[in-house]
Amino acid sequence: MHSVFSLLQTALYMIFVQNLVFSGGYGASEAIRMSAKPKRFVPFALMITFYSTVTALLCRELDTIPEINALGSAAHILIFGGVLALLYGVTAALLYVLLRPGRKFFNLLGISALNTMVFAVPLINRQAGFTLLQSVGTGLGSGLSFILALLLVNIGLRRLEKNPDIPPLFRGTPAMFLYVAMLSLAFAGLSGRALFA
Amino acid sequence: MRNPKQPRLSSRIFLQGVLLRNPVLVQVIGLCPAVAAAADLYVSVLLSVLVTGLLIVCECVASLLLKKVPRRVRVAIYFLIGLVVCAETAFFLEQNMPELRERAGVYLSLMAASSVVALRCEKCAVKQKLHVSFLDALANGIGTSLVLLVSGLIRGLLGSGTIGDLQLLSTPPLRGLSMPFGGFIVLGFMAAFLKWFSSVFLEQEAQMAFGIRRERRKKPVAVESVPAPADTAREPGETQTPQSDAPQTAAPAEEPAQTVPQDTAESAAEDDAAENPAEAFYEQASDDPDAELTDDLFATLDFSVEDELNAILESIEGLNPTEGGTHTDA
Repeated sequence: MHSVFSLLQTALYMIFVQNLVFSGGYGASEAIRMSAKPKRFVPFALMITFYSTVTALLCRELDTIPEINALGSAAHILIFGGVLALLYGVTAALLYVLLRPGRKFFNLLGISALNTMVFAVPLINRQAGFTLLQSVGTGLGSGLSFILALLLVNIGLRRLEKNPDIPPLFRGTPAMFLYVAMLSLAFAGLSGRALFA
Repeated sequence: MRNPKQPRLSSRIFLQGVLLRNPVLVQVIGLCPAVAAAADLYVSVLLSVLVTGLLIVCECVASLLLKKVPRRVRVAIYFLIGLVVCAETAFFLEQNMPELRERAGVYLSLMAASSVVALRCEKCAVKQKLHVSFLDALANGIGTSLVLLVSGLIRGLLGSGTIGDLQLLSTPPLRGLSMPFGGFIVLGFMAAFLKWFSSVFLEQEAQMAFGIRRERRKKPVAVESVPAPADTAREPGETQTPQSDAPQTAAPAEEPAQTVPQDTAESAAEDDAAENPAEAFYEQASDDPDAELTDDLFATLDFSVEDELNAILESIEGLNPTEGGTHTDA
């Protein structure tokens, strides 16, 4: 029971307190660009959750091998990145053989697998010294936090688009950046760090 | 024949990559290092050099070797090239500049998965010759670097009162600016400044770059009216018609060129397109529905999340959540 709580606690922490998109800027480009395309929300969110969770699990397991754990950060970049690339290659090959999806599906698969957020998860886990369950919780929480980010940015974009009071110079991308900044500020407030001391 | 008013191809590539289609401020890619890591001038310089080098390597490799490779494989190759470059850089810094390596943190490693690299390779390198890809990489690298450096300068100065290691301000630091939300705020103001700068100093170039697309996009909603200027800004109070209300607005980007009013910019562009494939590419690039411009990001909003969720609920349970009057989007 304790291990389940540990996993859930880490996942919730990643979603609401250390939301990777808003608190770290990880995967921010993908979140903002994808938030304008809600049709692709569900498959993209599922893919990104899958990749972040499985990569976190595999990399944590690899890191328990003493020889790998003793290596420097440059080697870890190669190993963790290699795991992610391999995972993407295997899933893409399997899907290609089994389901024969279209080109658009593979485009989405590539964006969801090989982005800064998914790649950051194993690196953050190693830096924080998380246990196996905490690592899985981080992976799961990161994927779910991405969904939350997509929803919040999409709702904001819709409202910004309809708001006639925004000065012309700030319409579009500038307003969107400032809106995401406010969301980021809100999540930074939840983290309990001193912002303006 | 090339329109004498139009700048040369290399100038247009640089103008688009650095200013008009700046990767970070206009295309909204490569945000991760810009908002999180570029709070310190040294880290900004490091990431700028890295992203420019990575762009040049990846675009040249893609242009030379990857044109026949399927896209699903290409994206993994960009990532693997990025991994090797980032690991080499990290190793070099660990040996020679451990403090800078420490400051860059995980963001150095994350440059391997930079969306700027993958997107530029897919949009340009795999469709163009080596020299065009090289120029495109250089231009977009400079564009990204400028944003990283200016952001690092502003956030370093206001966030900690320093530029590099030089203490310049004695006022209380705004520590929030060193955090990602500070990065988003600085980017917001930089994007607004770029918009103003483009509209005032680069009006003609902006029209050349985006004129065709604007005409096509505007045509179905205002067929009778006088064509609007190519500037991306809308009038105060004017709201864009949601595409769910007017589905025909999504079509014009796909329409053939002859249905579009033939203004000077477009005629010149078509002449060039016939003569030079690279010129044609740089005209088409501004007509690419996936290339999000300032307002184009909003133009791609087909419907809201509520619509999507309602559609899912309806399909699963036969419910109609709009009946209660809570649903406002058409």
